[in-house]
Amino acid sequence: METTRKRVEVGLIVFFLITSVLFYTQLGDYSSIAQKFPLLAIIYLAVISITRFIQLGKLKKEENSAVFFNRDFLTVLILVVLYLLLMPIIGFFLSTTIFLPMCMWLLNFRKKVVITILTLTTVTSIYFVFINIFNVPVPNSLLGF
Amino acid sequence: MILQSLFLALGLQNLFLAFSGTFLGIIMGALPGIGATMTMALLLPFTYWMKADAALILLGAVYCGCVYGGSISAILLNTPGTPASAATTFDGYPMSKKGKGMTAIGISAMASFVGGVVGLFFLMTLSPVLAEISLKFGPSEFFMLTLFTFLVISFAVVKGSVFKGLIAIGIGLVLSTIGYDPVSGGLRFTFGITYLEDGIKLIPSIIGLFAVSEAFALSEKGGTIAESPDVHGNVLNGCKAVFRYPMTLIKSVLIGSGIGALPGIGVSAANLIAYVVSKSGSRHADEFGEGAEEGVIAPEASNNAVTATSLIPLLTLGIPGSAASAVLMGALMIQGLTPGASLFSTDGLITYTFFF
Repeated sequence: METTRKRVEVGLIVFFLITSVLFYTQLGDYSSIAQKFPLLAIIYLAVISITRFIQLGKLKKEENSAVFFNRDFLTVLILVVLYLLLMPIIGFFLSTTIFLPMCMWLLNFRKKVVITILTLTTVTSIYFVFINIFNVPVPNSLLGF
Repeated sequence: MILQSLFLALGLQNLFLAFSGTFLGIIMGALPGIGATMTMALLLPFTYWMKADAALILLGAVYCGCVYGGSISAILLNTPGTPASAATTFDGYPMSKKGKGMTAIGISAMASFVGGVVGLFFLMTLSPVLAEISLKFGPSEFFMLTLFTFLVISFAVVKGSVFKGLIAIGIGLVLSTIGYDPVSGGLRFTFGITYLEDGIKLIPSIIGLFAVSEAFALSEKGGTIAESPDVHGNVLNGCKAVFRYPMTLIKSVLIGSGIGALPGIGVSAANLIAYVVSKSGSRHADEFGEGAEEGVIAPEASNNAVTATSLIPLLTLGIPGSAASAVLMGALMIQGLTPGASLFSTDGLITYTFFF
């Protein structure tokens, strides 16, 4: 997928502006003291983003280089989003056990034995280090495992 | 008393604790997300049965080891193990990409060593003087220093438009409002998600910014981190390279020592400020960000100088200069030691043994 630097930046600025508006709409629920600092931060982000937007409009053609997102990048991006969405539903261990081999396979790493060993080692070591030693909880599935 | 402390510090048990603590610290520091504070907090219960000097030596060694260890993953993986190594990634990782990873590790080790030793010298000699200055540091001074850090990052570190840096600051400010409001105690911008109630902490955000972006970049590029198939340079060359830039080394150590003595600022700001100051004063400023040796020396020398001098406000005033030194204060209290003048008089033997 080919695009330009300007389009990528405009996309990000639009995202920041939407975030600013979303945060601004929430402000009414908080006390006047709790509103002050976020209001300043939101206004600052919006003003700076709009200024950059105007600056991008004046960008010369030679400065607007092409940006290319290849298939692997988009695959990993989609997988990461799915991984984060599925984690609260099926739990950390199951989602990681599915995510890691899928990610490696789709990135053209096709050694089945190594994929299996890496996945099991990662999940097992995270379990022992974080749950057994550090007592840090990881997201459970809706079924409680 | 100082000579007696030196002999005590050179005792077998203390030497063993210093080496094993440093080794453990380097490993934990290199693991992104663990860091000095967590490692020291985990070790704290094990120090109950130790003598005061042994406990402080173990925790101090872990602290220094963690700060150095953080630079290893920063250089090789573009993922700083601790916030102290954030600026090391700017030039350390480009060096790794050029196949000079081991040289960068050597530079980091030697710069850290020099920074640590000089910082320790300041800790031993200038504690009372610097403690007086830090007492005068109020909210307005903290605000001005933070603002200064923001501006130097926007104007000197970010390439291209200054507005990109200013937008990054805006995003940081907005994200910092998530979680409990420190004044009213009410929840803000959690959108019903329990995980956001504690806010977005520094370590997860650093891992997200550096490690995840690097994972995406690598998935797109394919292959390995090193673009060059040959591994050039070695650790020894890196160690020697540090002394080719004496001014960078001296400036960074002084910046680190000064910032360390001010409570609450700590290593996160010191390495960035030292990097920016070195870049602005360098004859090779255009090489910064492309794998400049000075770009590794500056943050590494400053962050290790901070580790020593951040103990000044703790030991003289009882005010921890960083989260890690707050854990160290816990260890002092467990041992029945009170931070303040008594540490340099009645308990001086323990304090100076710890310094050595």
